[in-house]
Amino acid sequence: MAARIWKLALILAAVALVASACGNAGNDDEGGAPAPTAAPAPEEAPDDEPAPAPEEADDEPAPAPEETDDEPAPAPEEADDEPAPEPEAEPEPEEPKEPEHRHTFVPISGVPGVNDDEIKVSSIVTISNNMLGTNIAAYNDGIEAYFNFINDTGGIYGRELVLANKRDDQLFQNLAQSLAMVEEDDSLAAFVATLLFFGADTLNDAGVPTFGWNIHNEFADRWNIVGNIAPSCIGCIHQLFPWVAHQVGATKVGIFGYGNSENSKVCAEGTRDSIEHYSAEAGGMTVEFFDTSIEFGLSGGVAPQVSEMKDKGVDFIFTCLDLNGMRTIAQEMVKQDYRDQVTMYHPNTYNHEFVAANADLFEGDLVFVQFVPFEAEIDSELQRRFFEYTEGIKLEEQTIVGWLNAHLFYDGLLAAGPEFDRASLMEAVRSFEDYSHDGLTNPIDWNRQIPLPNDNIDADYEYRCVNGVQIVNGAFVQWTGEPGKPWTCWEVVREDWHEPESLSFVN
Amino acid sequence: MTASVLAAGVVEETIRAFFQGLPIGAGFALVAMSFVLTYKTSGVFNLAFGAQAFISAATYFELHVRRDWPIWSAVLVAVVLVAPVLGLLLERLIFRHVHAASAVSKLVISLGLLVALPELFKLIVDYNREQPFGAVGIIPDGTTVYRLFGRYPVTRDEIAAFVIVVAAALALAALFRYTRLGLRIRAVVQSPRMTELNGVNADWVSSGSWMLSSLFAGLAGVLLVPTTPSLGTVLEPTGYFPIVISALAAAALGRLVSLPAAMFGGLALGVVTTQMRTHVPRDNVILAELQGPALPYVMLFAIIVFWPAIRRQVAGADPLLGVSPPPPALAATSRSRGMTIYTRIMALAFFTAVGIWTFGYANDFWISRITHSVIFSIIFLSIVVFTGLGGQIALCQVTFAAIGAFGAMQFAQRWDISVIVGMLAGAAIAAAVGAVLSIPVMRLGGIWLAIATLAFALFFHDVLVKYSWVGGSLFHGRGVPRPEFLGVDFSSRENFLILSIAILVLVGVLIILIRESSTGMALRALRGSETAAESIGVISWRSRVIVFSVSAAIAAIGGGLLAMEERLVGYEANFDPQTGLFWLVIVVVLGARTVEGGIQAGVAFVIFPELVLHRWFGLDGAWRFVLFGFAAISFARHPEGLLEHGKRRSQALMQRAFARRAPAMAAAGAGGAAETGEEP
Amino acid sequence: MSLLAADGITKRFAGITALDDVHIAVDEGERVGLIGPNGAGKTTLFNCLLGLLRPDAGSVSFDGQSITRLPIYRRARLGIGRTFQRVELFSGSSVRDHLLFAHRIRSGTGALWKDLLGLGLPKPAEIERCDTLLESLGLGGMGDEPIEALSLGQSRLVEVARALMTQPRVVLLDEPSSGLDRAETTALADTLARIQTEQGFGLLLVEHDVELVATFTERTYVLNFGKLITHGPTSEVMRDDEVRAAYLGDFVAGTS
Repeated sequence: MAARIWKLALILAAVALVASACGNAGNDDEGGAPAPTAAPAPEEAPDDEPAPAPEEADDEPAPAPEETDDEPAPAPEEADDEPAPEPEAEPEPEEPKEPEHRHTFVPISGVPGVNDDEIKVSSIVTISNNMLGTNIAAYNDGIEAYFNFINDTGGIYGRELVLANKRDDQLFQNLAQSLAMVEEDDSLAAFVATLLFFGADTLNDAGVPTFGWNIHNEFADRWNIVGNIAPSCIGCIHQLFPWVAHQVGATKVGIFGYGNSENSKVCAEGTRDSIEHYSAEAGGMTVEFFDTSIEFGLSGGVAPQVSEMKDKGVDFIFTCLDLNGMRTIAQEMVKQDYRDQVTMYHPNTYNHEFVAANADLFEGDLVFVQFVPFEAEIDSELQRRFFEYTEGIKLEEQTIVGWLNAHLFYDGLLAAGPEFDRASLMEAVRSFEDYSHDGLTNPIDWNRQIPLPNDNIDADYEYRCVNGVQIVNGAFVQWTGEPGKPWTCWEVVREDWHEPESLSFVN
Repeated sequence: MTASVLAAGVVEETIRAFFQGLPIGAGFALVAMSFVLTYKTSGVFNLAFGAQAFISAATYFELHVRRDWPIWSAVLVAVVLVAPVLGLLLERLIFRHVHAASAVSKLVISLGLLVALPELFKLIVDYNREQPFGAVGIIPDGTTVYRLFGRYPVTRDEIAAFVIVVAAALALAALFRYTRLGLRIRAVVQSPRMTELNGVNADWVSSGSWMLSSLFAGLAGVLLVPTTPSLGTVLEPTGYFPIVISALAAAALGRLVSLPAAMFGGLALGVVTTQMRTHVPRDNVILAELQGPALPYVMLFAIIVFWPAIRRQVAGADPLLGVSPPPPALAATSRSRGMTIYTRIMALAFFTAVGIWTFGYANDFWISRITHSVIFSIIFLSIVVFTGLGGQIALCQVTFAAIGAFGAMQFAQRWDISVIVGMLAGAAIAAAVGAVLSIPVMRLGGIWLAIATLAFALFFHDVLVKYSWVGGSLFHGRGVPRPEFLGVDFSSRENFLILSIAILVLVGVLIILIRESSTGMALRALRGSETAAESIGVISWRSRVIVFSVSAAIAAIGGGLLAMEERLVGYEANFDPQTGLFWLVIVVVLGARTVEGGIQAGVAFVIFPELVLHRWFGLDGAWRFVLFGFAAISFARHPEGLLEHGKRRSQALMQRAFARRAPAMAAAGAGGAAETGEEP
Repeated sequence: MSLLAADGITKRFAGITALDDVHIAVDEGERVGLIGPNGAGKTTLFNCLLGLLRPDAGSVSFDGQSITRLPIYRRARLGIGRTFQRVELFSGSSVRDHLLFAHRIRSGTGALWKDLLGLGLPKPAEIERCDTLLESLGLGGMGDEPIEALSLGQSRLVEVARALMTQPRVVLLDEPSSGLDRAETTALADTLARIQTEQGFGLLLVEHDVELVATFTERTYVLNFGKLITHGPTSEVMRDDEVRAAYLGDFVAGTS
């Protein structure tokens, strides 16, 4: 009977287990890819991504920045223990950067993941059991596209960049994966896109340069961990919230956050505090509705909440929710014949397919991202290359995040010189004081912005910037900034209400 | 604003909330009725409902959304074909053969199925080749809005669900009350043999029952998709979980056997939900919880604790049960001395070998895996105590483990107190929580006890963890240092492994001591027959409190150690309630009755997926859910666990081979003494 | 004053009066029988005496104290032992375990901390005791058998032994001879008599085996439809016309 077969299989497995215990003696490289030990798809409140990270720019007014370029060409030889001199983000020439030593080959041994032909990296991504509704696995696509771009023009230091191992954390099992990666010891760096990054300390303590999708700031405040954004102030007061609502003429605001995700909840509270703080300057805007008692999955629906907002005449809704939550709320609003009276603010809905499929649900809403959207008018070589090398792949937000992480990695490598190792790579990255992924993100001073800036303004961005699109007929249209200058920015040090500037960080 | 205007406003809100609550309630009713229908027609409390619902919904998704089949053919296959066939298979292959088993054994089987079936389906269909986004309902243009009385909006999907729920409730109630078939179905549940003596083909009726209840589960599965936000975007089996709690409360109202009560209960609970959310203000922390995440749990707990109809449900015994030969005696009798010594020597040799390899050759990764095995063995020993010794199913061991982990963390972070003390404090808290929990649920039978503990685990997960005094906070992280005491620093992996092993040994010895002395004897007696146990003086409530507390404390110690090992509390990764279901399954499969069984389960849990599945066979880790889940079917016949059973079988074979007197097998008299079937 | 006494016991179940103003008493060293047709309420009365059921009216007293409100285990600890009509066994345990549990639970302090220190383990002397009792009931050598392997009759004996291990002062036996043949019944009766002489407990028997009742008990109560028809010395009761009509038919006591 069925039971017998399973029984047999189990007994065989057990016997094999015993045999293996002895058989594995001496297999030191068995860092392997362990299967995680959790049950399938636990019902979790994944926090959603953080509030739009206000980003900073240094005070560069529109006129082009100069640090043009030069690469820390000299001293590749001593680059052994010296960190490379501080290079700055530079403009993108026709070809990828061509400092003299880009193709210099120096034999390297003892550096994990580096041999004479390849520089290997691994990624840890939530591929399966992904509860968020956005395709996080596209992150790997972005990395590979960028590596193809670099490899097509000769690679770096005579080697090809390879995403050798794509690990799946199967939702939250990234501690084990991180440990395995460290043991496998065959990757120069780690690329991480997961919800809740438990493996942060493991990678950081092992000295593995880690590039990540930093939605969880609290895991980012470590020397070896960098990402598409720097740690941002969580739950802090920003002018941007009242400004955004004010731009569309709204005066009564409703706010949603998931109670069982602290990230989401604090985000919502920060939004509320911001609006209350700047209420007077923003035309007397008030928070009429605030709810963080909902949980991920929104069981029981949101009908009473939507009715309440409708009764109170709420005309703008901020949320700190994932796109599933947005859809549920929007559907309920359509049902109650209330949808066209409200504009919604989406922190996590930059998903073209989803929005196209739900066009009537989201008409007129605003979607915010932490990079320059595809729809922005900007003269960025890096962005052009992105489109070129991702042609034919479905583009998600994660794709460009992967691309950006890979770019930072590459720039770090270049700055570290041809005789590099993990430490020098990290030193090089940390030496970038004005890094904006060639204009595609708010510039970061990796040297300064290491800890969470919550009580420490020195660790914060210089400018708080937002970049957003509006949904029109199921498609995105650039909303912030002006043509050529897509970012809308406020100075962080100025707490008073002031009009933002439109900026571009492309050099 | 005058009072009458205010009052009119409140009335208007109430009416509006009523109509908003009905669709939600229809969802609860669907699930509640599904539970009731299955229980009524098969005697099984089918926790695997979520699996069956998912399979039909996912089949429909595959066919209609991914492959563009027209709605009618996709529904035909997903609901009318797949669901009943699945039910038929379950009945023929599994449930028909365990009719005599206890309700708790059947619950364990359904847990195994809940764990295994969706994973098997996903593997077969390669479900996750793309993200499962964008599931839709079966009603064309389901989002079309209509207005009841011109004012209250409902969508087509909601109307359909409501109509089907009511129609099904009426039809099924009529079936059971007025038709012969209904009577036969109920009779077969009580005693298949008796009905056969009356000329009814019990096998067909039983199969038919399962097909009917599975059809209903499949129907519920597809109907729930458009009206359940958690399923709307990502169609995964866990999406059904949130509804299950409220549905259980509704099913409880009907004592699990009344369909109309389940329906009304579900609708009522839906309305209560929206009324609470409409009228209860959210500014106060407690009120906000009460109208929000905590509401389903409050409802469930209130009903199962206070509703008089929920008593320990004495399954009406099948009078002809004694006709079957008694279940085979544990293959050999309790182990002979020879066997025990042999086992001990082998174990010693094995552990010595592993020990030498671990400390001599293993790299950090493997040392960490071994340490995890040891720690999970400790955690699983808590299940050995509660299920093996106490004979009941608790599904909240994850929660107790989490309490231990958080205890270690909080004490270290807030007050800079040694983590060991923190862990022990966590164990004390867990024991207290366990004791308190045992009081209201004590008089509940096996099924409801399991449900109550599951509800508690989900309650902790949804409501309590987010508070910083429980689960820590965003800003301080959940870091946990390694202990340092007696002058030894346990930061190094080897040292910590030794510490863990020492604690495992200590816990194991304590459990053996408990089992062999009066506390354990009282528990074993209670497990066999509560009445008889009390008649010899066992104080049942005290034993229950003890077993809950001890089990909770052990789990907490394991949880604390896990946090120290990982240097942080990975709550979402380790202590999710769903994970807890798998814990139970793996422990009962491998052996919940002995300390060795618990240790084997701990090792298997950590090592099996990595070593066996991944490395040797290159299989997806999900196969472990399939294998162990199905293996749980064996639990009914082998409550001592498969490994123990295997050992005893080989002992029996050896004994026979040496022509020693084999233990007395089947009874001499007509019908053995084991009429009541085996208890876990 | 009897050791165990019940007065005015009335119990109704959904419209049916199972017991109507019944009284019964058993004293130390006595052997009392309780007979009556099926459905007369004998087991219900037992359940009331033991505490499984709460009577709607009436009281139960033990050793002069009222125990009507006490839970089962309290009554058990005061010294009331019992066997069951439908055998209640500890499945998964061995035969000896049944006796061992009974003894340990009564004599052990039940304190968890003592158990944890290993002070609660069974002593060899106890195990001896169990085996001796098993021997005397004809179950010698079966101590290690799993309980499921025994026949019904043997299981009943184990139940009796289990009850006796608690050193009760009154034992309530619910149809102990059911499933036993003649020889076994006689053996059981002899053993009970002997142990009773040693330990001095009172014995209350529900029985259908009229011969056993006639030879073994001193007094008998007769129930019919929940009412006590008569009670008194067994020989008289057996000759009572009403009892005969209701239950005994033409059976004449004393013939074997």
